[in-house]
Amino acid sequence: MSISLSRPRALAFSLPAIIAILPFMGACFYIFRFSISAEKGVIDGYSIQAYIDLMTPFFGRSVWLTLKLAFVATVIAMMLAVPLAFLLTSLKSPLARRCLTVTILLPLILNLLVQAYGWILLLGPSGVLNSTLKALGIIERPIFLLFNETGVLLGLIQTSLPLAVFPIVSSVRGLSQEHLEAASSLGASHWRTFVDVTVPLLRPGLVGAASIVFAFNASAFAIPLLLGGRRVQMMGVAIRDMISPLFNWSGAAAAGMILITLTLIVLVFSSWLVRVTSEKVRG
Amino acid sequence: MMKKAETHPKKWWATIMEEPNMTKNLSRRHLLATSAGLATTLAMPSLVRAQPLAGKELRLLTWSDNTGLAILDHIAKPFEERTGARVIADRTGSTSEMVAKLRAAGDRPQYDVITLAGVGAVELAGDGLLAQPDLNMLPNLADVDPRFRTGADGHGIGYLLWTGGLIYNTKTFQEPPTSYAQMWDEAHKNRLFLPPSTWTDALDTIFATGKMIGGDGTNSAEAFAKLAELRNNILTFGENPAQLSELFRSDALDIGGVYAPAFYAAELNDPANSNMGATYDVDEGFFADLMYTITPKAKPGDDEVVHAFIDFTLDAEVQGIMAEAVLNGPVNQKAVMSDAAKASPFIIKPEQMGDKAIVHDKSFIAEVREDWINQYNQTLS
Repeated sequence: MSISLSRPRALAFSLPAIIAILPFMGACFYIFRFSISAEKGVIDGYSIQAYIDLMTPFFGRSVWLTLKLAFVATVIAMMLAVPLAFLLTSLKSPLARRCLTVTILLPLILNLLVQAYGWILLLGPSGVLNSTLKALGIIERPIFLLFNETGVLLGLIQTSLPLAVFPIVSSVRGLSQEHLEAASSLGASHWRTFVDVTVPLLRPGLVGAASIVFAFNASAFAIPLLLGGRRVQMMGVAIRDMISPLFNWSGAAAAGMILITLTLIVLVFSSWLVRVTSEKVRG
Repeated sequence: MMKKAETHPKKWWATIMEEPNMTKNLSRRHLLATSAGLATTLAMPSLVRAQPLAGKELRLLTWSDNTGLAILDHIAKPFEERTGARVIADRTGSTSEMVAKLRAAGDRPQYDVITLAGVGAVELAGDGLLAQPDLNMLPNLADVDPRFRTGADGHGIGYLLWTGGLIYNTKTFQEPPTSYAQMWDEAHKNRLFLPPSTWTDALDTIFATGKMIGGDGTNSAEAFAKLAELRNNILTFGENPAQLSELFRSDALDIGGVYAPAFYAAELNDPANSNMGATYDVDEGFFADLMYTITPKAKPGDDEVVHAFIDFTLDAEVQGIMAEAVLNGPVNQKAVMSDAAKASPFIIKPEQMGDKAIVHDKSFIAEVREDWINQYNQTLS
């Protein structure tokens, strides 16, 4: 039995959420307006100078670094999330399911500072890993896994994993067992079934999860600051530096608009890719 | 004709009063009331003196780190107890953020008093956002070293000296390092930290590098070229002092600067466990930035409580307590400090502000700040 709402009724129920979103939309509008302000510190006049000032090799590197780290973190998070999602849906014991759910949610629950300290204790130059490897004689000098891109990547994967797992769980729960049984009965191996049946059926969930994770990682600010040692200038950090101490509000707004645009382009492209490949599969 | 009883003194006295029982009650009541009234009258000046600003509020903006916490514990709270005024404190990460907040508020600031670094005071004074405190309402100013009384064209009142030098690992260095040049030693590769670009300490680092290579500190082009050599040697920028402390404790850092020992009062007292030491005795000199208290022009509070608070920050005892708590240099020449604090190499006293102390020309720093910060980011990120 399905529950459907008429459009007016759906709108009425959504009204509080729409009202809550409106200030955010207003803020986005003001950010856009600030980005085309002729003054750096106030909204006054019109100019695209803020965008032109960003066309520097330094900012270009920041954009590239942001997209690269967000993309790599997303791919790895998805690769880790899919088996976790299957595991979560296959657990029969409610207690086991709850324990695993809490474990997956921990990065969202725990304070980021605490997580950063955990990483330092584990992977820092004098952390558990380096101390163990040195004691075993495998290394002489510590391996630098923190305060660089590697550290930021680890942090991004850890914090975005929960955002990847749960949308995929919903998709896995929606998988039709009949399709899988049909493939098996026709002689397909587990791997063939997974690649040719399971993944295409999961594709909308996978793309949805990847979109959320990519957007989350692209706008990351705290993780690059804590685990990058301020050496990894992702756009979130660059935007923050423009505001304080440089008070370049129009520049920061312009950088923010560029980040939003790039993220939207990636999301729209991935949606188009899903649609095209889905049509190919159906065709 | 008076009755005989009325002529007897006692009786005469008794006849003036009413019935004996009533007389006793009234006199007890009267005595109690009179005593209470007298006591209240005598106590009133003390009560008024004890809570002269009762009912008034002061909105303070200060730092979110341990220095800001010390202000709340050793200045704001005692001020409330002494005056009855209520201090509502807000805390934020850096002087830059304070400047941004005040600029954003324009002519409707939320705060009455702000403690911040000198360069911030100069910028805000230049924006026309600050009031000039009435020096006649600051009697403690008379005890302040004349060099540190006011600044930012009279808009800032000297508060404490923020000093920066080298922080080093006491396991690595048997003797304190004597030059910023030791940061370039290859032995410290990947065990070096520098201050983040958002802090004024970064500007000090550029200045120190310029002096180290033989200039006067304003030779920034050469300084940046020299700093670029450290790009692959840096482990981290010290955005989070607690994180740096952990890295020293776990023996992951050797040296760094320019950075303020003020963050590490507890650690510097326990080098055996913290592995942390600090020194101002550096060939190129140490950095001293006079911090100010400022008050916005259109502040919400009233002048009396604002001036009382600013004057309280200059109190000799308060200055001594703050100096010990956060290792900032006191500006009050009569600051009351313990013998240990007086002997501490981490607390710079006004009389130590000789040739080795580098005190920036705030106008120069305000001019080059944006450019230097951008170049610092691009050179070292």
